[in-house]
Amino acid sequence: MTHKPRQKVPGMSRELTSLYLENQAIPVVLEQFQAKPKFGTKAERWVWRGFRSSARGDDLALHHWAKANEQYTDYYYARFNAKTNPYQYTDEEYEKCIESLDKGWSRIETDYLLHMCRLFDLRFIIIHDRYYSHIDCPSSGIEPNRTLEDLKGRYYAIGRALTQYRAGEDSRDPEDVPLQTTNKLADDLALLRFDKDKELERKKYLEALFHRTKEEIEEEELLTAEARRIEANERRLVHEREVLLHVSDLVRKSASPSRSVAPSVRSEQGNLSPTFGDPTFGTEIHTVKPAVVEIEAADIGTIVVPQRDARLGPGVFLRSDKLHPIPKNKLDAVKQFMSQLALNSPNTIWPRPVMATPAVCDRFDSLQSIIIPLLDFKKTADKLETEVQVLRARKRMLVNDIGEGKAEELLNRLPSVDTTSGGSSTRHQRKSSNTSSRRKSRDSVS
Amino acid sequence: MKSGKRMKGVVISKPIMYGNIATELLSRKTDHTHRWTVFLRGPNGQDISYFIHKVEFKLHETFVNNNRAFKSPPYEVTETGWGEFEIITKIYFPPASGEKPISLYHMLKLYPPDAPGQSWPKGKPVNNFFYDELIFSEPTEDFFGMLTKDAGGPEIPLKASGNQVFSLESEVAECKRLETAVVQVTGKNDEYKERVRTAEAEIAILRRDIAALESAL
Repeated sequence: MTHKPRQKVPGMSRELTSLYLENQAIPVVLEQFQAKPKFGTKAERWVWRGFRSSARGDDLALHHWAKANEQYTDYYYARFNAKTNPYQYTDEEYEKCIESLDKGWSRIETDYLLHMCRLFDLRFIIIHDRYYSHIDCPSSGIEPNRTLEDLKGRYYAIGRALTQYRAGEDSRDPEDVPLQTTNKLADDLALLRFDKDKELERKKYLEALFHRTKEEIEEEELLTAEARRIEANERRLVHEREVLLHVSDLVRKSASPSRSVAPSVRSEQGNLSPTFGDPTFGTEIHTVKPAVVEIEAADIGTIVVPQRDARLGPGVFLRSDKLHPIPKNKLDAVKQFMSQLALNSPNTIWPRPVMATPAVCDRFDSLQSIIIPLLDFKKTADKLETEVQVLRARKRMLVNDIGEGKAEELLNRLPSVDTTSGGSSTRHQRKSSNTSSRRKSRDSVS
Repeated sequence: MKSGKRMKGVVISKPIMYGNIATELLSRKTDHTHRWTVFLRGPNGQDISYFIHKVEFKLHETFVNNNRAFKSPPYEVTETGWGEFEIITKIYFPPASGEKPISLYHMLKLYPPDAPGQSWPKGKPVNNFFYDELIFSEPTEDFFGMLTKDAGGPEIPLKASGNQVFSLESEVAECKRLETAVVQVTGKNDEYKERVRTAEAEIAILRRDIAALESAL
């Protein structure tokens, strides 16, 4: 049922009218007649047909619906009837190779075992389960209490012996036999490996694994993690040891007079004062030493390296690039300051020393690091001192307005000022004696 | 059997010297005013090619072939001109090192520095030298072998002489100057700190006084 939208109401906009529920035009899908789909072809003819299957051992003919024109040679699903083929030996073969394998097994029992294997498709669990209760079980000549492993072991032993024997029956000269055949023999034998004891062990372990308690599991996890950690470390240690030995040779061979490999003898930190070497020929050789660190370098052993060079990471660097960076806004000020002290290298964009050796750079860095707070202090000092001037002027004005005598009276009555709470960055305790001395000086001014 | 593996913790530094020398041209055939040589060498004039594969000097684009490359020393470019510009010296290391090239930047300086009251004698060359050190951090084993080869003499001369202006002596002198400066600046620091303190104290007092006086108006 569709609703016709209401006619226009004067005074109401179209949109507003459409908002009312009863005014809305509701779209509805009408039922449409759907005709039966037409197919181009005629219908197939199916017949109730009987069939036989090669997978069955008998001649039973079952029936099913099948297409009239279709022909099957065999039941379609007979192909899935997989069968295993356990070994079959002749009496001759038995006498020749199998009989000598295990005295505990009689001919009868062996035959019975193989019969069961054939019957149950080598499913040893089933074979073992029904071993003594099967209808074909021989009444005599069979050992009691055969375990699953016993049965398996016997079967694989037979397999191995037979395979070996049958290969040995090959009358060709061993050298003429193609490699493929010998390899195949090896593979086949490999497949027939069965170790009874190992099997028992394995099953025992599986049982134990299955029945672990919660604590045991946790303990095991901890141990494995520990073991992994130790192994990883061990690998690293062994490698380092090797590399160390290897390159201690290298260094010994390449005894270098270059200054860089052995920059200083003493490994002291921040040695600022010049040290004297051996006075040779009457001249004193002054040298300066940078702050150095002893490092366990891979391959060389312990070497002495300037502290500023340690932990740089791989690569090539320029020493003047490795000075402590200064914030951009302070760059100019620092440079100017340095130039005033005549310590900055001329013609450079940013402050750097004239001769950038590690010792010089150490001192340059420490200088830079105290110049920056100095500049800050300077700025603050200037700022505060101008403020002092301003305040002093204001006070003078007020004193003039009020009158000197009255002002003095007023001020003397005021309590001493706690100057510890005020102030920007410095936190210092002021002694009261200083305050009073200040007051006295102020009185003399006013 | 050396491998290309990096040797952790090993640091080797090699001092180098670079910059330019400029002399005024006395006969002006063109509008070029100076002949200058830009160079890269060892501070003691020693061989540095055993760890350098190639040096490229990049000049101003108004020069023909402004990328001048040298695979063997002397690493120098001599030209004439009138302008001062930035020169980029790019040092390439042997491929066995696996290191990226490193660039040095400096201005070509032709004109003598402003020295009021002094005139620069005609014909005296203007020297613009820079000292720096190439820090090879964690070099590969192959490169380490190259770097530790005998350089043939001390890398930095004991005393300055001629154009070898950077010496162990000058290092000591600079260190001394820096140390003095550190002491000076520390002293100044304390001085300023004191000034700040006193100013702050005075401001507190003045503020209080002003407040009192204002209330009495």
